[in-house]
Parts: sequence; C-alpha cells; structure tokens
Amino acid sequence: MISDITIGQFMPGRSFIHRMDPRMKIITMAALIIFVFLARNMLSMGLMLGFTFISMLITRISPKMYFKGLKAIWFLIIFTSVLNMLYIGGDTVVFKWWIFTITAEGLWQSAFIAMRLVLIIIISSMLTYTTSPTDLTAAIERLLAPLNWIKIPVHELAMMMTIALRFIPTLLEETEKIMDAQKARGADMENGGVMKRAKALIPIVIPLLISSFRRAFDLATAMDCRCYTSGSGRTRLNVLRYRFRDAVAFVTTAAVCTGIIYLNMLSPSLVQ
Amino acid sequence: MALIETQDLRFVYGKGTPFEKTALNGANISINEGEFIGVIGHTGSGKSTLVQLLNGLLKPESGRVLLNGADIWEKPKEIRNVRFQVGLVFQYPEYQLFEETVYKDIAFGPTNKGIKDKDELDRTVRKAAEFVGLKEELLDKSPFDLSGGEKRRAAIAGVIAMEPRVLILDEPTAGLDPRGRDRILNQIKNYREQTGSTVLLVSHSMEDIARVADRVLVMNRGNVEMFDTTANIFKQGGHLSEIGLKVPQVTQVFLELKRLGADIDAGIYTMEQAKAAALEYLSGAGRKGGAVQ
Repeated sequence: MISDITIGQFMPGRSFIHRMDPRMKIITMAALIIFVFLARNMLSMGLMLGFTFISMLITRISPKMYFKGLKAIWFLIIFTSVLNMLYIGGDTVVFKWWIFTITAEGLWQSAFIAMRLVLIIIISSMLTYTTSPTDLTAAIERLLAPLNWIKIPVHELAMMMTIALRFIPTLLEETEKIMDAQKARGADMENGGVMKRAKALIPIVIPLLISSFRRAFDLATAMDCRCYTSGSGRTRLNVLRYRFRDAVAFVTTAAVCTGIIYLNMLSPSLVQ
Repeated sequence: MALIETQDLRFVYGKGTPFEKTALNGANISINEGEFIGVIGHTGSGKSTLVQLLNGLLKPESGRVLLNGADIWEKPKEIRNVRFQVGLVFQYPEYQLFEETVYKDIAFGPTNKGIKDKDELDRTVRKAAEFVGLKEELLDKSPFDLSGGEKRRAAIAGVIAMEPRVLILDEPTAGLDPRGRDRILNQIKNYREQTGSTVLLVSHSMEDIARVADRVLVMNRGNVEMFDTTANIFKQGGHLSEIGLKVPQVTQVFLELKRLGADIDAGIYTMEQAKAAALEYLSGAGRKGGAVQ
C-alpha cells in the first residue's frame, strides 16, 4: 500500500535526537555518512555500526520501522554485493567454479558495500524520522544561507520545498480517497494487462490533477491574503538555537569520526 | 433473513505503526431489505469505517460482514461484485468525476459492472440521472462545467446507475445550501420509495436523519451505542448529548416541555408530528397535568 512508504516519514517523539537542533542533525548525520565510506577495516566499521545502533535505540523508534525503510532497497544491496563478490579479484581464492572465482578480498569488499548501504539508509531514515519536514527545510534554508551571496534564491527554494513536503501526505490521502471512490464504482486496478492497467489510472489521475490545481490556487490566495512576500526581512516563529545537547552531539560525533581514523590505522584496510 | 449483517466487526488503522488506532471495536448490526437507516456519530466515531467495511473497501481485522447470509470475504477475488450490490457514495463525491461528459461519467459504474448492451446502458444512465433530477441537456456537458450541487448529484447518479441493492451515502448534503440539501434528501427518499432499495444515510444533521430514517444507528468511539427506531433514539436526548450529539430542534422543544411537566410524548422528531401533538395537547387532552410555565 501507499502508506508503507516510510522514508521521509516523520515520527514524532521526545528523544534526545528528536530534540536536537535540525541543523546540528544535518551536520552530524552528513559527517557520519561521509565516515561510513572512510571506515576501512572491521575495527572502524564496528565502531560505526555500534554508534549507529546506539543512536537508533536513542530515538526510541522501533527498529522495525528502520527495516521497513530498508525493504525497498534489499534488491540493490544484494545485487551490488554479488556483483562485487564476483568481479573483485585477489590472491586468496576461496571458491572456484567454471568462470566464477570468489576471493576473500571480493567477499570483504561486498560485505563492506552491503554494510555501507544499510548504514546510509538507516542514518538518513533517522534524520527524516526524527525531524519534522518544516524543521528540516528551515535547517536547510539556514545552512544554505551563504548561497544568497551568489544570488541563489535560497528562501524561495526552501519555501517551495516546504510546500512540496507539506503536500505529500495530503496528496497521498487524496489519492487513496479517489482510489476508494472509483473502486466503489467497480474500477478494477489489480487485474488486466499493461494497457488495461494504464487506462485504469485515468479515473484517478484526472481528479487528482484537478484537485491539485484547486489546492494550489487556494494556497496562493491564502498566502496573498496574508501579504506574503518572499526574500529578506522575514522573521520566524521558532528561531533555531543551538543548545547544550547539540554541543554534546557534536563532540560525540567528532570523537567517533576521530576514532574511525585512528582505528583505520591499527589494522590493514579490507577494501580497495 | 437480514440483508446485511455484521458479526463482531473490528477494524484497526495503521497496524504495527505508532499511529495504530482501533476504529471499530466489535460491531453487531443487522439491516433488513428496504429499510432506511440513519447513521449518526461524532467525527472519528467509526461511521465511515463501518460503511467502508460494508462494501468491502476495507477488510475487517476480525469479524464478518454477511450480505444475504454469505460472508463477503469468502472469495476475496470476487469482492468487486459486492461493491456493485452495496453502492457507496463518499463524502464530497464530486471530486471523483473524471470523464468528458456527465453521461460517460454516470456510465462508468454500470460499464464496470459488465453492462455492454447500449440500450440497457442508456436506460440505466438516464434513469439514474432522472432520480437525482439532472436535466437531459446536462448529460452531454463536461462534468467540470456543472454547478456544485449539480456535480454532487451527477456523482450520486454514478453510484445509483449500478442499481445497487443497498445504497450508502456518506454525508451527501455536506457543504450544500438549504435548497440543495432539501433537494438531495427528497430525491434519496423518492429513489428509495420507487426502487425499494435499502438506504444507509450517514449524516451530522439530526434534522436530515429525522426526516427520512426508519431506524437510527448511533456510533460512539468505535462502538455501536444504540440502534433503534428513530422515535426511540430521539427520546433519549440526555444520552445523546452525553456522547456529544444532539436531537433535532423540534425534539428539544418537546423534551423541554415534558421536563416542565407537560403530559406530552417526547418521541417527536418532525414538524408534522409536532403539529399534531401540540394540537392534541392544546385541545385539552393533556391539560390536566398543569399549565406549562
């Protein structure tokens, strides 16, 4: 069902990570994603896995939700791992059959790639699960503010993003409603060939388009009525402020990143 | 035998997520052929969930829906047949219009049902349009050129055209002006008198329910709170207001008269009944009880 898509879904809560400043969340999580690629042996990868796992527990969001997010890319993970397993050459041959040769190096490489993909998905899910879309775009707007200097309309872009994000659930809800209404009139969306299924979409897409336009006009009128003007001089209802917990998060992340570099030097690297 | 029956019907939204919510908690109701049922309840009381379970749009968590004595989910592949028999008109149905002409849009349901014969299709479409009072010349127009009330009626015709045995309408009068409301209510009433179909009307307006329903189903927090004749339900003004509902204004007047000591029947919910009861009382029959202050 449509409601099974979890990436980008916000799960309200009061955990340490939920209450962090969204800017700090973006900075620390971006740093972690970069360091996922820098971890090159089991020690540093272990530290990364452990830290991500502990962070997952801190969010108090059921691990089930994170795995639901992974479901969509299982195929990609397995596919790239298998490909790497077969293509990466090495000296220690573990298994040989016909034209397939599997080496220890290839196995490590594919294991690391799988772990990296899983970690990236979990870390980015953690960001979207714990941050409301409005906070997220506010943070992006602030972080990108320097781009204003080269005449990039950061505020307008952020506003567009906020509106787009805001309307995703509304549109999903609307889609389900229209689908239900057409199903109640006997529309058949599950059976038939490609052409028949494509045709079955018309009764859903047309009402959806029409209502999107209606919503867009309504929103524009409402914004006009409140004298919305973009650009400089706008203030915010909730001003973002770094607090003590953000300092804690920053120091911890910095420590983990330093730890990864240090641990990388302790034992030989397992990936190319 | 009842036409539609539910047994311990339960439904949960968003199972396994933090947003899990029990919308229906064991509903047992039984509706006979040809009845006019009013469904009332607060927002979130489970009315909409119940009606979507009745036509198989939602699959119950547990419990069964029996249509003509057979479980509608016995053959999940044939659930579409249930939807032709139990026609459901959603809230704001005008948003589901999509065809180039009103005629084609009304024909969508019957075509899905498998009616291929041109004359047969033409007959059902025109009959449905007539039931909702859409003029002939509107049938060739684009549905998006109609007025709000006309769109609503065209959408209702789209469901009626499937000739369902049970017609369920979820707030068909929401957002219409008084004249539009009266019109739709009268048309539903006529439709039911002429076809003898079973009708379920979900509404927030007690006046609407009082005008048309034989029996009233009161939903509260996912439970069936009461299910009785319209007179018996509206007699219990106190109980209804406890769960955040009201009785029709005219019933309020009579309940208050009774509280003040007038010997008068409180099960009054239409103007005609009120007139008769008031005249009877004033003619002296109930005067002995003392003057009303």
